[in-house]
Amino acid sequence: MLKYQGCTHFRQRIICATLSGRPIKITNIRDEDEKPGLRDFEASFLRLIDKVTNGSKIEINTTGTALTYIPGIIMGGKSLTHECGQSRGISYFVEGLLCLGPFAKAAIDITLTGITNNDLDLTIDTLRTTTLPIIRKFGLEEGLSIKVLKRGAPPNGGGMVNFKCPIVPQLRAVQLVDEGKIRRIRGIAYATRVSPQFSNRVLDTAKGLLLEFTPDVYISSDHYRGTESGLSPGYGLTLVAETTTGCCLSAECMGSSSGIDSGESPEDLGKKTALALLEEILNGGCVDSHNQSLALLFMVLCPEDISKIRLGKITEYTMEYLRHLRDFFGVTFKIEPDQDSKTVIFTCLGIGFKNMARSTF
Amino acid sequence: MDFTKDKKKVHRVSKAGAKANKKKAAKLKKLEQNEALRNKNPKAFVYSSAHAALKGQRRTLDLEQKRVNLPVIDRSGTAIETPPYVVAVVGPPQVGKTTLIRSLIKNYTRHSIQEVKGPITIVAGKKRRLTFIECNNDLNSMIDTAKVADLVLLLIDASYGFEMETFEFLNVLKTHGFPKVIGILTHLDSFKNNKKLKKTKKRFKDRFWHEIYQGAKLFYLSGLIHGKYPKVEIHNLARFISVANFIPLTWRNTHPFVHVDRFEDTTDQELLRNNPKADRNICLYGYVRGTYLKPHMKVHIPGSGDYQMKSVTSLPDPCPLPNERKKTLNEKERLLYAPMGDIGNIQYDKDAVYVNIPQRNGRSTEDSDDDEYDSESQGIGEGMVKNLRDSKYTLDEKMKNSEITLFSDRSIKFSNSDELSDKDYYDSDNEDGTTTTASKPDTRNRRKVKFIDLKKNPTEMGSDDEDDDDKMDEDEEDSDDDSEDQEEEDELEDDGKLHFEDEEDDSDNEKEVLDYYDPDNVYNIKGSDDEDEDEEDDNVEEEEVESAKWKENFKFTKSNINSSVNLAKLIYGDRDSNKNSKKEEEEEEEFFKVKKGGFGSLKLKKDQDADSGYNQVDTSKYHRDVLKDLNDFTSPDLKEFILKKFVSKTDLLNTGLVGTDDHDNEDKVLFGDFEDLETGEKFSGNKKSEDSDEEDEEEENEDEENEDKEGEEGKSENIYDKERKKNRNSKEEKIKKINAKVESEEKDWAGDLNDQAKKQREINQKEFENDDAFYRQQYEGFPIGVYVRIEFERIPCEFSDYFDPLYPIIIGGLLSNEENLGMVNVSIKKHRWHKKILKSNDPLTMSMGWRRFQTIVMYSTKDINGRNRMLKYTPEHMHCHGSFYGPLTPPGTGFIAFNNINNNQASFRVNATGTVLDLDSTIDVVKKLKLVGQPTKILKKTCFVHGMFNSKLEVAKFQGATIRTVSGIRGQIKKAASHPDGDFRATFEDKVLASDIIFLRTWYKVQPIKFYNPVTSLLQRNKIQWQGMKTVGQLRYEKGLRAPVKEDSVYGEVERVQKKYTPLQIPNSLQAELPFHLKPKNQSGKILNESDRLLRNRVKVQEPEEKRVKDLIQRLKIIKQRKIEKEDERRQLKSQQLQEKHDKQEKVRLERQKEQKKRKAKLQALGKGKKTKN
Repeated sequence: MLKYQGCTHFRQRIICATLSGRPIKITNIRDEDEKPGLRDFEASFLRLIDKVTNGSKIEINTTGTALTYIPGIIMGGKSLTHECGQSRGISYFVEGLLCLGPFAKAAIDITLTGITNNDLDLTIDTLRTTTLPIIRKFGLEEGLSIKVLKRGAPPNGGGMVNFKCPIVPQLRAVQLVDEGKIRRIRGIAYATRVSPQFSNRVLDTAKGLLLEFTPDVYISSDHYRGTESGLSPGYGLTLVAETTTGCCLSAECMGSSSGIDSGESPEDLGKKTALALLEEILNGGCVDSHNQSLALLFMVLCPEDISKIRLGKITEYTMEYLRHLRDFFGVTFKIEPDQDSKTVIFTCLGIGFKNMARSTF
Repeated sequence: MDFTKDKKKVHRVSKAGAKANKKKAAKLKKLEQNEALRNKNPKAFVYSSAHAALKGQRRTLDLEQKRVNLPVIDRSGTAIETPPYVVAVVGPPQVGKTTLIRSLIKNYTRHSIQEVKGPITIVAGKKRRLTFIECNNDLNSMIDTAKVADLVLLLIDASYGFEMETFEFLNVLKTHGFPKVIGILTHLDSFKNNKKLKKTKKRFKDRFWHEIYQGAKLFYLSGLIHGKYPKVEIHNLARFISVANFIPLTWRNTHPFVHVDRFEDTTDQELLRNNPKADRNICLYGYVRGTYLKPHMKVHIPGSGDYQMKSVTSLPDPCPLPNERKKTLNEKERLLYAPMGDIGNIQYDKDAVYVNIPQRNGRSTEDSDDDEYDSESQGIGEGMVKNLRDSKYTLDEKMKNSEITLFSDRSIKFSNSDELSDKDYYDSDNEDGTTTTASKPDTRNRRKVKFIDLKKNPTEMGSDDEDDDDKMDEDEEDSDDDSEDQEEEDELEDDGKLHFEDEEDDSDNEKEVLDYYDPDNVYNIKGSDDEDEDEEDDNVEEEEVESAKWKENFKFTKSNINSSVNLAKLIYGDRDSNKNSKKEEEEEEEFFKVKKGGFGSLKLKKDQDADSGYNQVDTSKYHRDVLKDLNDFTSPDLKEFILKKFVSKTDLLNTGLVGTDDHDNEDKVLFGDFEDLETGEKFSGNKKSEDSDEEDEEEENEDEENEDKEGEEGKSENIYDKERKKNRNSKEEKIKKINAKVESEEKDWAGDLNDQAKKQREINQKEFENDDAFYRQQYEGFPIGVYVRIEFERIPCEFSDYFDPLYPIIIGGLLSNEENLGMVNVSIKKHRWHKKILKSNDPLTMSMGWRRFQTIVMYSTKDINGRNRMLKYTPEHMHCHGSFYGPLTPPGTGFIAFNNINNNQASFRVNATGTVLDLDSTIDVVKKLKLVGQPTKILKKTCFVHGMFNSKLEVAKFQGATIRTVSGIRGQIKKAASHPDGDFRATFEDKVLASDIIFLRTWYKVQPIKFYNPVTSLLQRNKIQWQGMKTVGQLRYEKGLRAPVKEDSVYGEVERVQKKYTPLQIPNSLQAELPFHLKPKNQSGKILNESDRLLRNRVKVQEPEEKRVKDLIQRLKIIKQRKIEKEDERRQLKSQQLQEKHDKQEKVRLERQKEQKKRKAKLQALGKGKKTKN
């Protein structure tokens, strides 16, 4: 049994435990906090895990500061629903499902409700436009989709997302070394329960900035009205830069609902996002800094082949993920820097992971 | 052997030489002629119609499809050196297994071995090593052997015939992937009659082919010569073995394993003296096979259990292949390695090399009778060993005194310390290997030589230093808790300066970079742990170098990435030695620190999250702090740089990649089209359309041409001709199209998978080629072909105490999830040779994956409606589902089941075989349940039922359920009745009889019994007699009990009480109204009133006349009666006679028929016999 402390990297641990079949124990979860123990979103995440697995045992002590998790078999299934709550975005949950989905017994088709876009987590748009293409490279071509049925901004959410993930017997090893050149930039500027002018203003600024670099910039303005717009006002911008080799780099910013009053203008937001995208491009790599960890996990879960990936700046989250991958799967990555492009190449031998839950005829 | 003597020599077609060349030339000429003909008259060689072409294509496609296989990816290709192939010699006792191994080894290495104990590895050729193992007659050994053998030599005693063991073993082989099998018939010398011998051979071959595949190789070994098989035959067999090629097997392709060829108990002797039953530490040795063996892996040792490897170290190959490429092996290169049998000369240990010197070849060649060794060439190592032995002083004394220089090029120090790094062995492979193997054996005495390298391993040094550093750092931290913040700031400032001052040096001077990357004061990469400080630092930085150019800033990022080693160290390094425990300790320290700082005042949630390292916010999103953190992209230099990362505008415009028309699509669909845009490039789309355009044009052109031609010829030819031509053209086109399509698809199919696999294999091979062996091992584990020493801790003492080299030991690696237990759904079929059907909930001993275990299987079948219905017994000749609690094994894995794996069973021991379908934590198998009740109160179609349930709650659960009476009246449960608990009201489609029984048919979920018992045959003194759980039947048999009889199930005499019905009484008033025919008539004996009774009781007196008449009538009646009787009798007699006559005729006829049949059969038989004789 692996033992950890604290709530940090909670999802990583639960997911790695589920995939590797190794039980874990997490202690000292916010033990010094005013409100100790697991938060609602973590409990919700555990409930979601319980929904998509069979035979997993989750034991939480009375204060909620200690958790024992004995993983079961990933079931998946159709017409599942999950209420994600208002603390974290839907992406928080979908990211977890993305890791488990390919190795379930049946394809996952789940509808999640809650906040689609918030500042703390990736927005669902980024997940759809950048994360999914990365996962597709691992051999999950058909049936992988995220649909935003309703948009929900914090604090009240009210968004609704449909997530579908197919199953695979095995992943495919990838060689994502060639980052190529940026071919075009796409984006979505959305606004819910605010004037459509907001999104247009954001869009104009960002586009203005980015047009200096490439002529192929297209940002769609996405304004929601009525029932589809959720319960709270909000607006934001998601940008994706696509390279000639099909890699996607993303940047996103969310104009917080308080921000509407707090004086940060939509123009500022647009500029911020555009600059963040340029920063991503500057960092380089075939995967942007938000999705590094996911790509690395999938590399580990490949058959016993060499996978290679070029990453830009390594985030703290990714580093911890690498450590977890070693703890759970025993995989150590070969890390080579590329002096010329200031990127790092991560190489690993897959562990030959198979979808054990899948049933043959 | 002489039975072919009489036959004429068979004609041999020459394959080389003048005659062969002539034939070849003739063949070629014929081909050319054909080709010429084809060119001359192409019409004769095409399909006459499009339909026929299609048909033909379909046929070829079908054939093609049959041929096509999913390519099996051979992972052994990435090995540096393939491990020795395991050649298992299998057969019943007294068949000649040991003799065969001895003969083969003699053939390969010129060694004469006496007994075969444990695996024997030899160098068989320039590129091939073989490990011979003898499989004894125990079923457990046979299973384990089947799991590791690459080639099986299946010995069959021809004088006796096939034995059960052979077929049992073949069945085991089939379930665990079928390795190559070569059959060998022995004891052929017992046949004196040539004809009989020939017949026997044929019979054996037929059966063998049937069992394996048509054309499987079967060898014949005639009698023994000097206790060995004839040299020529063995030589032929050896040649076959050395050219055999092996197909990769799925299980072994995905699981690493080690077939143990050496065993060592390393438990502390003192501990053993105190407690002989203490758990042992053991070391097992062997070549890594299958795939990469990863040190962290859990392993299963069949016959013992699951273990965690304590350590894995690679050792120099004890039986290396020759280095130089020569035509033949010389005597020295024909190595033999069999530590379990004490045959080989050299054994390697982690910290020692044992040189085992056989006595017979003494140093002064005392016994010259031995012809195996030519001791003429004495290697350096040999001399060294001799010197060592000749020295007067003991090794200890020597070591105390001095260092001995043994090799000219290298100094080796003998010391008592037993630490030697892994890497050293990995690296010093060649040197050590050559030196030690070169040493020639001298005496039987074993002497331990311990040595250690003087030069310490650089990596180890490094890591040691690191540890020290770490410790130092920690100490510092501990001591300087109070002034921590201040210091950190200082440090950071320093870092900043350092970095800005010598940016050039950064890249060159690794040490400084290393400092920079020290995890304690990492600047940018270390995230929220000290975010506040970071920000502060940012500020400081900005203040200090406000005018810092972007370049410097940029360099900063560059330097970040500069040193991979440090990045790797940052991620993995600090926990290299003891990861989890140490980490926790550290964290605990931190934990206390934080408490100190934050004591007294409760911090806000956000602050705390940021502060305490282990309770951070969990998000994958990378948060850039603020705008100012970002680079200034307006500066021209940076802009220029970043522009290089974009496709240039001119290029874009040229290729038309600027997708202005994309926008329309996007507008239509607000989201969801991003992916499409990436995958379906616009570029290709354009191309496609162009292509199609071209095609169209071409077609048009063709049409025009045709028209033109027609125009020219049209005048002379009639319309029919035109039509025909057109048809023909279109036909040809069709055929062409079909052909093209087929070809392209073929290419796709053949290309895709194989090319991909090939490419990937190349990548795999290349990737870690240039890496240091130490790192390489870290990245990928131990590759195939490496000789490893695996250390285990806390192994039960029986494993070591009852260790027997005759029983194979396998260390099978388990992939993630495979170590867990769960419900396994399998498809199972009773073996056709097993006499009984299998019963649910009877224990079965299985072999699945690496494991052998006993479990309880529950059988079920899937009904048409998808329900899994439990079966009490397996079907006789069909597959059914089985569910049991056992180890999770990937779906598709085969298994074989036995009732009893002991050797005390005469009949066929294999019970069933099957494959894993599905894994789950729970299973959904149901069993039929009938609840029975009686009607209590019947009101028209409603009825109250009693006795089905016990409480209202139960009724409530089944409300609305359909029920039925035995007579077939259907109904429904309505509601629980108020009074007797469990009664309910039900409605039926008709009135229910009070005597009817009402039942409710439901399904009850059953779970298989959770029983999992690994077979621990290796932990027993008597390895053959492993007793698992017995079946109930077995127990009853042993105790002399009979199956219990249920009283209800016994059939008895049914006593039926005659029912008495009260007579029907119709009231008088009703009677009066009834029509006459319905009125009750005056029944006889029925007394209506007083007068009637009087009338009846009156005596009747007849007149004499009356009496006479009556008498007469009476007599006449009797006469008539007699007449009739007589007539009857006569008729009966007549018919009887007739019948008899008829019977007689019939009998004669039948007899004749029978005779005819007999004759016919005889004739037929005779005819056939003639045929067979011919």
